[in-house]
Amino acid sequence: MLTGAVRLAFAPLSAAVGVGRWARDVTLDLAGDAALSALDALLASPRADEAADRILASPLAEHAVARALSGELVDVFAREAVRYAVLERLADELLAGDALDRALDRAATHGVPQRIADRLLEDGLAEQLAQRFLDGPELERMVALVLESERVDAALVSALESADMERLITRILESRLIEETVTRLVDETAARLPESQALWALVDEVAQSPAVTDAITQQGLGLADEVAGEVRDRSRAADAWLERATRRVLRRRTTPEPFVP
Amino acid sequence: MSSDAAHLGAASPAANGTATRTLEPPPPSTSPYSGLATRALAGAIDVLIVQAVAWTVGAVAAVAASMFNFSEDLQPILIAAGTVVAALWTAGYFVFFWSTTGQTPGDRVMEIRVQDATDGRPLHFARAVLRLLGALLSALILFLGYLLILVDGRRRALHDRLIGSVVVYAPAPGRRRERRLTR
Repeated sequence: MLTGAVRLAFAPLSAAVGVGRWARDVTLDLAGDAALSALDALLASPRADEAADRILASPLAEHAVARALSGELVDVFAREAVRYAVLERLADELLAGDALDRALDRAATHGVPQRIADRLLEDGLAEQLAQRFLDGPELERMVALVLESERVDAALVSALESADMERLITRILESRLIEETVTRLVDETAARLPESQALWALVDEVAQSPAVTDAITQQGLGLADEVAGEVRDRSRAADAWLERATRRVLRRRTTPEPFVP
Repeated sequence: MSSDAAHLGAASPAANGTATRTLEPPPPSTSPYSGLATRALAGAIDVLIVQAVAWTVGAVAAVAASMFNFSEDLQPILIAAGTVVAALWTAGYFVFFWSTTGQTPGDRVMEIRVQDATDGRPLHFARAVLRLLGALLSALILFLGYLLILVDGRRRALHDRLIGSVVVYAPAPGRRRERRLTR
């Protein structure tokens, strides 16, 4: 009962507080709308651009930018950019759209790649890259990869078996350049060979090798044996011919006697 | 019958009664005995060898002798001694080979062999000496003794008849095998 009496006593006060809160909210809404309207009007005003230009051109803006960049703002920005993957999202947007292409086109139009290449070549970067490429294991891996590739193998086989390749090789071999080159090489080789001490050492070594001397000996013996065999055959024929001639002259028939060992 | 004889006998179609293939070129003679031309060539080779050695040794001896001042009276004796040595060398050459292998180097080149007419073995030393003397006898009158080879059934010269020897073809073992395989 007491509680109900207290509630009844404070009811008007409670109503007054509620009305006050409502009035405050309404006032705030109205004030906010008015401020936004004023801001829109200000931004839409032709003076807004000039005001912005003046602010940006003022030492205050420079000072503010300097303060911001020298302070922790950059660190915070970087940290947050990493945290929210800003760069990845930015890259995705660039790659998804044609902004990157347009940027590259504009760079190409203004000769940026040429200037970059010139700078790189002037700085010796090309030599460094070539040296690094030759010294590193990448070249070996690439060559191994190419050699082990079935596609490369198939391409080589196809190229070598093609009629075009045959015609190309035939034309190369029949060209005057090849003929002149071969002739010059042969002439120079023939001219230099007699002056080579190593060649004569090799010739001496080969000539004195047992295999060669044996072969020459065998060949000489074989030739002598062949000549002797021919002489033997002819002498046997002469034996028979003389015997027959004698029988004809003497008109005598000689009876061959059996062989007695 | 020795392997030579068997081989040579098989070379004759009449010997085995079958038509055997002939060698290319065909064998000039089916006789197992060596004829005049082959023996003459073998003898020429032997003469060349004997003379080459004799002249070489004679030249060396002459050079050596020139270093000593022998008297002129001694020279005929030295010449006679040299002649005897040359004769001994020549006789020894033939007798040695006939009595050992039956083949002088010339005979070996021409692949013929001197052997006993009865058993096919090499001549004994004494018979080899007698054969050499007989060979000199055969050569005395224009080599008439050698011409008997052309009419004798076993192609024997006069000294062969006197001593009882024959000269047969004797192909080297390797060549014999080769000819057999060719058949």
